[in-house]
Amino acid sequence: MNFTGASSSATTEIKRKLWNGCINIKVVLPHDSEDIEYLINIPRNSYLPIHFQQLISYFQNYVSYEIYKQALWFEYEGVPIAWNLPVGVLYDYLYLPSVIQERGGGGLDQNCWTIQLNLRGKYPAEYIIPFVYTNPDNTINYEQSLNEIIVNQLKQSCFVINGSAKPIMNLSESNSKLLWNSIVTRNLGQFTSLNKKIIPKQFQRIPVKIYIPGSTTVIQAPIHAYEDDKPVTLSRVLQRELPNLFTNDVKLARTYIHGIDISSIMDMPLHDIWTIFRHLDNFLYIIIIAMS
Amino acid sequence: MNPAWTDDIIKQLDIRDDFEQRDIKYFTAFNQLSQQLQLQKLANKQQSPSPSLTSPTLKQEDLDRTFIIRENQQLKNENNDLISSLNMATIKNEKLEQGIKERDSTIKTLQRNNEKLKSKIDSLSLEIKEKNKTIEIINDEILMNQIQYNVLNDKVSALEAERTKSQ
Repeated sequence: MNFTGASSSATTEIKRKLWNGCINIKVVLPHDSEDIEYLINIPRNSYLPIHFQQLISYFQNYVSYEIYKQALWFEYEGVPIAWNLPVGVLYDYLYLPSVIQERGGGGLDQNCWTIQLNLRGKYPAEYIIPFVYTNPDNTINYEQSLNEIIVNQLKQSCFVINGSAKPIMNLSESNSKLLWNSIVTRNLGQFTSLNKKIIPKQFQRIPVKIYIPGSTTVIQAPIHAYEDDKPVTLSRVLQRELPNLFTNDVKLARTYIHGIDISSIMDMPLHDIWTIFRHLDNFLYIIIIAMS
Repeated sequence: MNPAWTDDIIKQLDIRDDFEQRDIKYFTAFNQLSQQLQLQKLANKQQSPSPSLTSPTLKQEDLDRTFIIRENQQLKNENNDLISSLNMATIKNEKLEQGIKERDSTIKTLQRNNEKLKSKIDSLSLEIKEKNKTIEIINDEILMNQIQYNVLNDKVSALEAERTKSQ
């Protein structure tokens, strides 16, 4: 594997920092004219429903009704938060544009990302995926819903990469469970060894999702790793997918992956960028923030 | 030396983490306190006074349960710590594997170069042998020419002597 001249220790350091990246989130539950707050530190490549159990256990101490039987959903500035995306992607998509100026400049006026927990309002099923599974005691089975979504995402990315979802479909039941367990418990060794079975050495296409904050459009483009025997670069992809924002001469937007501006690697092969920056579902999530 | 892009990415990740982790001590403290709250709640639940549950054996059972809950929480925390250290070991392992791969490819390149040089040496040795043979042949020819020259010289001398006598 060649990362355009990078030493192994440098790329490993990048991978270590990406894996350990965490976000501080303040969850606020409005209750009887006061706010109950819960502070949680969530890894960027984790998912909100994995942490629902601890939120429920905490908030149940303060409310009289049974939280276990309500479908939890969050909102940020009135926008329902999609639980099926990695937490880091949600942060970059919803919150990063408003704090981007402060981060580099050292101004720290903003608090951490504060999201509101909703329990009793109408579940916004038209914006976010509903939780369809329940346990025998009528409580909501968040884990099963998340498992189904992640497995589907993995199948999609596997199909894009291999041209077929066979590698993931051929995983034994125990290996599938181990893969899911490694995502929940964040067991990198187990995840890496199982994920290697899904990803081949020869790529057909690269699974990429591009989000633009303030817009509901998601560009989900399977991109060929090579064109005319030359590796495809990220800048080439953006020029093609977003010609209004990225031209040869003028760039009207900045590109963020894992919360960092990646302008310095725009001309690197997309395959190398994917290898380093992909998420646990093997998708490369790119956030485009328009320059003010 | 690392190319500039890795240094830039590492620097940006540091800025990101400094910003996103700046209040981490409060979050860690809150997490520990909320765990304690949960344990306290569970312990209170177990020990709630009930007229039918006041026998000494049941009290002991409650204490045992509370102890198990505490132990369970501690084991969960330890498990999380172990997974974190395992992840660090995996990342280190990956780094070492990457290093081994790089060295393997360097060794392969050097071996290929070595083989190329060996075959070059072999062909040069053959060339030298051939040239040596050619030199030997040329030497022989020179020697033969010298002999012929000497013989002809002798002949010329004899003829000159004969001519002098006849004059």
